[in-house]
Amino acid sequence: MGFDKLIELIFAVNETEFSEFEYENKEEKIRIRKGEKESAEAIHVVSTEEAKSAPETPKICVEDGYLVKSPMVGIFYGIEGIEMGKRVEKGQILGNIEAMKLMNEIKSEQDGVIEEIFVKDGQAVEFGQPMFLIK
Amino acid sequence: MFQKILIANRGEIAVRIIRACREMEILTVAVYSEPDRNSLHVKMADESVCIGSAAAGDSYLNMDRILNAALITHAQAIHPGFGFLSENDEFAEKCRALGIVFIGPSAELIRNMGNKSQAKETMRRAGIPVIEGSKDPLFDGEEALEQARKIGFPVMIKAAFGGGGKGMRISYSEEEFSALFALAQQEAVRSFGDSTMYLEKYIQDPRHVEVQIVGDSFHNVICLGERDCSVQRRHQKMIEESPCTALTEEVRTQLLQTAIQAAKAVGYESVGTIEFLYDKSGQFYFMEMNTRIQVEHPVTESVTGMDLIREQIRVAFGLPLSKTQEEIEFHGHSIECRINAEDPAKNFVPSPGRISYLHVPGGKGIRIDTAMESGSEILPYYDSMIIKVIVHEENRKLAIRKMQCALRELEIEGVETNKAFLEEILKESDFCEGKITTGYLEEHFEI
Repeated sequence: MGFDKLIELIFAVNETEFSEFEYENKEEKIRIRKGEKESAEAIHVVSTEEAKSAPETPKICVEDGYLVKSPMVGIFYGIEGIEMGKRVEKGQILGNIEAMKLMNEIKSEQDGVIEEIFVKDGQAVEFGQPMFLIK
Repeated sequence: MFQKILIANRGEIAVRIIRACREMEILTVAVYSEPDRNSLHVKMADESVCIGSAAAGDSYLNMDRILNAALITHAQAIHPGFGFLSENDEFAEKCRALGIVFIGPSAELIRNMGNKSQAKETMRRAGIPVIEGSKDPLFDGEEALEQARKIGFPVMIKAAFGGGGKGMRISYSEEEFSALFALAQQEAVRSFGDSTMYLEKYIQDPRHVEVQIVGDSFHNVICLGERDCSVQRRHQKMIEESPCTALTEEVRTQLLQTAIQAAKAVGYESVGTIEFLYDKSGQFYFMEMNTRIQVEHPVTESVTGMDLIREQIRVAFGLPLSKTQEEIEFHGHSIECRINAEDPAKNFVPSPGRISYLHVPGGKGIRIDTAMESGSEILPYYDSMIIKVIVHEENRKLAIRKMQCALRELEIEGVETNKAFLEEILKESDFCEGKITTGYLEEHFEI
């Protein structure tokens, strides 16, 4: 995002009632948070981040269903056949996370249908990162 | 120089290391536990990786997750800070095995100095004065009692792998020895998972004087002066200063030379601190060596003008020390006060919570090291130290005055702290006259 657009964005957010605003695309992530005190630092632009190798955990709202989160830090690898809409059983392997040359199986703890997949094959994941939503 | 360093720590030391890296144009990776998601070190780092849930064992002490975080971000080195994995020889070894530089001494050195009893023996053989005590490891109460008789009471019972004042008891007479030995050993097993004990002659009312050294991979070792850390509560330091005004020039020279001798004897590389006890008769004894950067390093940075973290990173990369001993100059007096989130009125119980308002002092000769901001959460899972206030002035009297002003200006709302307690110490006449020993706090305050 160019500097002019960024300034426009900041002022636009300031006009609203929002206390926090976040925008993300493939190249960058912008988070704008309004401070609590009425002062010159009321609007606090956190950062514009470029693509990195560190995993980015997206904000996901889960109303019902079971969210499979990463129990470790590593690289996620998918398995053939595990895709959206697929029915899985408790104990079924959903994928693997490689950590220091060792593959660790990620198993479903419930029966259900894969509603969403949040990770891609070869993607770096961090602890707690959402991977699958099963309903 | 390294292109990317992962900081395996949190709080103010993580912020300190990130700042040093930024100045050296090194990219940084922060690791964090889930509740630390919005903390300052995470915000400041170029990248961050969540490594676990709140408990330290599941996050900041989780070696595999931290190492994986370094691998997926392609960090070339890991700075362990202090505490956590900083003196864990297994972690240092795992880094090496993965081709990641551990910013600190070798696993072997950490192991050797980590066993306090063995470290003493190493130093004794190198001709460094050590506190008289048992030479071989002790496991059995009766054997220990025999040793205690030889050393002479009062005797200090200590855990070989101990620290932080745990697994320690003072026995003033033969009658109470066996019970105290059993208690100390139990505590040691619970705190450190090891029952190895040793004994030392108990030195009454010593000063705790430690010496900062730095070594590189070319066998160069420099000494950056001493710090007096006698103001302690239950073996936890509260105020540290440099220089130690109780030392004569002659004793100081001897002490600093002894420290260099000790560092060279073990082939030390990276930053390290050699702790001594200094007794009333003017004699000093090696107590232990800490193979990590210490909390109170800013005090030394003030009086020498050296950046210890930068030096540590340079040495880890394989560069020689940036100064020779002759080039080191000492100027003025520096004092550090540790502000902890604790309630002195309730026996210093930790006081976690949210800082609703924070104002830090500033100005010439005032340095603040903290990760706290207005709105920061102080979590109950970690250390209660939240802010370090460091002052530097021409002499001790002016430094005390400056610290009083700095603490007066410091405002923290929302949690209890030891700030007012520190202000009491800084007014107290024995402290102002420099009459301090490790028994100071107990003798002057009802704690």
